[in-house]
Amino acid sequence: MAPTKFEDQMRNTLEKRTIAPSPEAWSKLEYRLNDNNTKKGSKLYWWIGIAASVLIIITISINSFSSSEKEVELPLVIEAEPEVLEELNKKTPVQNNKAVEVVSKNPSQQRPVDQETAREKVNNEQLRTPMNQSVVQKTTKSTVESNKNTILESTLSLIKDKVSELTVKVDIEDTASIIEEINNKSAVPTDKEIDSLLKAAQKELLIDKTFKESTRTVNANSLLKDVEEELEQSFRSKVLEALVSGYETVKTAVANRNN
Amino acid sequence: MKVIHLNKNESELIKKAINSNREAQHVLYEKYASKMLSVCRYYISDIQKAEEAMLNGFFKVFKNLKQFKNEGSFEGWIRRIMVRESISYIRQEKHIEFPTEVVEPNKGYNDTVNSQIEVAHLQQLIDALPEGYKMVFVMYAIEGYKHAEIATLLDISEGTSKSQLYKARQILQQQIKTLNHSNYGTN
Repeated sequence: MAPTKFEDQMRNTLEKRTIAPSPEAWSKLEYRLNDNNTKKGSKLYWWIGIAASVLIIITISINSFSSSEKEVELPLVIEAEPEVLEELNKKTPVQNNKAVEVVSKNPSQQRPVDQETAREKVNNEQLRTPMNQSVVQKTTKSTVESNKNTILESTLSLIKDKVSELTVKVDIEDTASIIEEINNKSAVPTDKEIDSLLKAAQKELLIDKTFKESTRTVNANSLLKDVEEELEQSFRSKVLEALVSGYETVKTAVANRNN
Repeated sequence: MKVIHLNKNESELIKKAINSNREAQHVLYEKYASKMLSVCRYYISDIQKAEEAMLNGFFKVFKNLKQFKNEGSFEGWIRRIMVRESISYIRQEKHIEFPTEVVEPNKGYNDTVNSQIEVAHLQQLIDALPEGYKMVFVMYAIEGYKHAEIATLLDISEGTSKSQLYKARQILQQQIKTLNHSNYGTN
């Protein structure tokens, strides 16, 4: 159905018509256009703000993550007195690969304990350059003291273990010789003999003590004193035990001989 | 030469208006506002609401001016925006119904043309139509849209568009007869 003549006439007539808008119509339109421009600008600033905040969050998270890794990865501990090290190494013919370097002296002389593991995690070359050392000190300053304490405790325990090993060896040798004598003599150990044995042991301890006192440093003294106190107690008990066991063997031997 | 000069002026104005030049936008508005208000008035009976729809249309024109690619008439481009804006305005105002009816193709209508009918009367005849019929009639008969285009814009079928036009014509014919009789008496 094509448009009719009437409709064509209608169209031609209406097309010629114009209706003037109200005077305030343009001002309304202009206000809307200006408002739209400001909204666009604020939207842009809003997006810029979001992007900036996201970047800040990312950088903070990266920094915190890296700093926590550094704290974990740098078990900074302490350089030892070389003389104390030598003594310990003499008396302990066991592996020295573990962290035996102890006693804090100067915080500036710190270095990672297990170098192999430290190298895996942190580049030693970077650590040893002055700039990096200062950076490392700055970053791990807060953890150094706690690390020191833990390391001191661990080294103390190690010293104790090794000294006890030494003393046990010595004691075992001595008591073995005593038992042999007892077995050879086939006599019951008297109180006098026991006392003499104890005195001998004390003498040995004193000798060790003086010898250690002459060579050790102030800090090592305190450590060794603690060790000695413990040694005395453990030594006495061990000697007594050895004597008792020796007495028992002698007793049985005598009893069997009589039978 | 004048036409080319005018077109060159208009394209320069459009470029400036794209860059949010308020003066250029004002010039374009002044040039086309009266015509576009008349177009909106075809669809919307109330003149103030028609003006509001016209301003909405111009806002979209200046917002999307970059999309005009100088391929056709700038007036035609603005007019299409005005028609869409008028339809959406009416839809926001009220629910438009398009009742479907079977069109009998052989049943035409008596095309009695009265050239004395004025523009105001014609507008009154159009305003008297129901919204659905009016929209289809104006788009087809006045704007020159095809039924397929009308169906797309109004989201109806082509069959519905044709039936709406047929009904609109029937009503108009009746009204014109009434008008003729009242003006000139019985013939």
